[in-house]
Amino acid sequence: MIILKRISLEQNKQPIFKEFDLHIKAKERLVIWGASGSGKTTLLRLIAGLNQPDSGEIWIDGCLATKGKDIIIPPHKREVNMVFQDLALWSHLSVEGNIAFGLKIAKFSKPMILQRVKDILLLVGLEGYEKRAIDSLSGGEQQRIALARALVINPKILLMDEPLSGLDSGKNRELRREIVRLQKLLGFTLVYVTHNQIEAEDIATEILSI
Amino acid sequence: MNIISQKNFFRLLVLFLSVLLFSPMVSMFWGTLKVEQGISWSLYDELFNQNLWYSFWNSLKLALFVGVSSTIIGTLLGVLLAKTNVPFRSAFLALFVTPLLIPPYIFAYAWFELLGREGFLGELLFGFWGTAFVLFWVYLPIPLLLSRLFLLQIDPKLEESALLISGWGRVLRWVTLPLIRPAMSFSFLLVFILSFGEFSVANFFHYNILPMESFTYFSAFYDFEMATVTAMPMVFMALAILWIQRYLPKNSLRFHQACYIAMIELKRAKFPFVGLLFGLVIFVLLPLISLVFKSNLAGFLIALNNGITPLFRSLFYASIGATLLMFFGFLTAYLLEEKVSFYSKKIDGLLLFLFMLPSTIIGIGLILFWNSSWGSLVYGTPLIIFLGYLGKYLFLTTKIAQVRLSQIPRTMVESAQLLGASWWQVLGMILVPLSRESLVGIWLIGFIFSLRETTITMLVYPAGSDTLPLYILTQMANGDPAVVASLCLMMVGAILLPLIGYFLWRIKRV
Repeated sequence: MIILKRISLEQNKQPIFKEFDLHIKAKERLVIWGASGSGKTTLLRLIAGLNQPDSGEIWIDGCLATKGKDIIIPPHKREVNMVFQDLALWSHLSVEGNIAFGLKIAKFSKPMILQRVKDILLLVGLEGYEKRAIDSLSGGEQQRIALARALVINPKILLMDEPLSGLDSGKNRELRREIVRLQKLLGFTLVYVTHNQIEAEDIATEILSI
Repeated sequence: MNIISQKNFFRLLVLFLSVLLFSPMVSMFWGTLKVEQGISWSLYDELFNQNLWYSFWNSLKLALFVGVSSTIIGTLLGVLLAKTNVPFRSAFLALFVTPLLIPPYIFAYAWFELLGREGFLGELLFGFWGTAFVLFWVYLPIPLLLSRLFLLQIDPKLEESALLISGWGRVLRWVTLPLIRPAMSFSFLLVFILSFGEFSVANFFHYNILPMESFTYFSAFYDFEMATVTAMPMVFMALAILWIQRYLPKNSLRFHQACYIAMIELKRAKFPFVGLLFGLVIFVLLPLISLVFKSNLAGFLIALNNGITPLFRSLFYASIGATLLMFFGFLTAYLLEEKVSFYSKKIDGLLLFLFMLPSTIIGIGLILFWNSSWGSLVYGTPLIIFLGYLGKYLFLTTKIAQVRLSQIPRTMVESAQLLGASWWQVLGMILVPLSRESLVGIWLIGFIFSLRETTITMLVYPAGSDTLPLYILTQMANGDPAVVASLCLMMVGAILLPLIGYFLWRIKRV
């Protein structure tokens, strides 16, 4: 469960959040829907611990993660991962290198890393893509790799920041279904940001409009 | 590495760089004040000496002339080469940039060989006009490159919306040039301060400027204190420029290439412009061609025989200098980009200050600081030369690395952080590999500037380990012109060949 208590934040002297409260239940698919500049991405970054509010508290699974400007639990210890809007795939690494990065940091053994990369690629429908270069992939394939990289470390919470915004409607629909399937299968809490109403309705068990 | 936090590591880096690079300057200043009874400003009475003011005025006149003329012409050339469809743009750009890469005194010598000392032009060469002329061509690439860089990142929509109501002439005046004003003002300051401190060309053309006063006290009279005192106006000038540059619009100094460029189609007018560019580029080529004609096979063989050891020594020193400049430049750029601590801004200012200081001051400072009982590990060894390279050029490699780091999306770093990567894992596994090509470029720039460096090396080099620029400088005084011309060509080749190799490698990769 994620709880945001009385969060206030100003950016460039403009209030983004004022005494904002939010409760996100475990294993739900919350879609945050709103216009550009409404603070959707900032909300995800606050949950991830990449930004701090001016005041307020963020609780994750009963633990105080952020209190005001203090990060109590650093981002990598929150069991949270994020798929960014630009996907942020590392072009100097292969598909395997991108997905295995988090496992290497966590000091998994090499056979274990290879097995988990293989499993997650199978799960996102890109079996055999291990050695492919990132630049050689289509937009849809890159989205799947970003998803695989985020999921391979089994996060309890997955934050997605308009990850499908660059795709045509057909691919967008296909990947929406894929995300829902993976969320049901793996049981993580999904917080999904979009400005597309159809996308929001298709994915969400809960919708928050800001 | 796990035991040291990002903040502490960079505190150590700032401390390390400050002690190594800045302490010599502080101790040099302190040395002029310290007397047996305490502190005295008496040495500074020399600052009111009329000769010193004459040299100061000459330096100021020279720096203003070179600064203004190269900024105006360099910016116009930048517009021509970045915004128009004039043919052979890349070739012209490469040729115009060449003088910046070669030690300035080689151009001074080549012009002297071309025009001699007699006649109207020869007489004009020795004095203000000759010095200003050579320095103009040497520093012209700075405003040219900076304005080009800014022009390439202008959002084309800004110009296109103005083009709907006016022609390119007015758009350039009202939109484009005002947008690159920060490049112009920064170029002017940079060229001004570099011309103010440049020593070798004025020395060759017997034009009395301030750095020569300091150098004379140091090398002719071994009067370190007076050498420092006479250098103080240059320090104040560097501090003044440092203060002025704080008020330049900073937000414009971030580099993101625009997706496309609004180009000026010159149509038939491109032919006169090509003619103009050819006419200008002759002034770069002519001195180099004159060196080719001046040299001959016999001279070249003597040059090769005598110059090969200094050449290899130069290449070796420059390689180490470049590696240090790349390493510390990248780390400092990371410190500045990540705004790791309060010290970030301080180190930026410190490096800019050192970059703007005339090389004579850096050299004298290094000698005074390290020529002590505890400095024997550095003094009298090539280490002191490397410190000179770092002090003078770390600002340059830091800024280039900073441009590259600012182009890497923040999310690339954050993705790695969310996966548990520590700051040094992010640096080593993400940022360094993503900057690989830029690092090669940064190394090359460090290599070229270390290779062409003359003044600091001339002051600090250990006995028996002179570099090629120093060897050329000593030969220029009374050596056989064919040998000197051949040595100069060797120097030009040593600088330009790796650069050409680098560009061929880049083209092949693309």
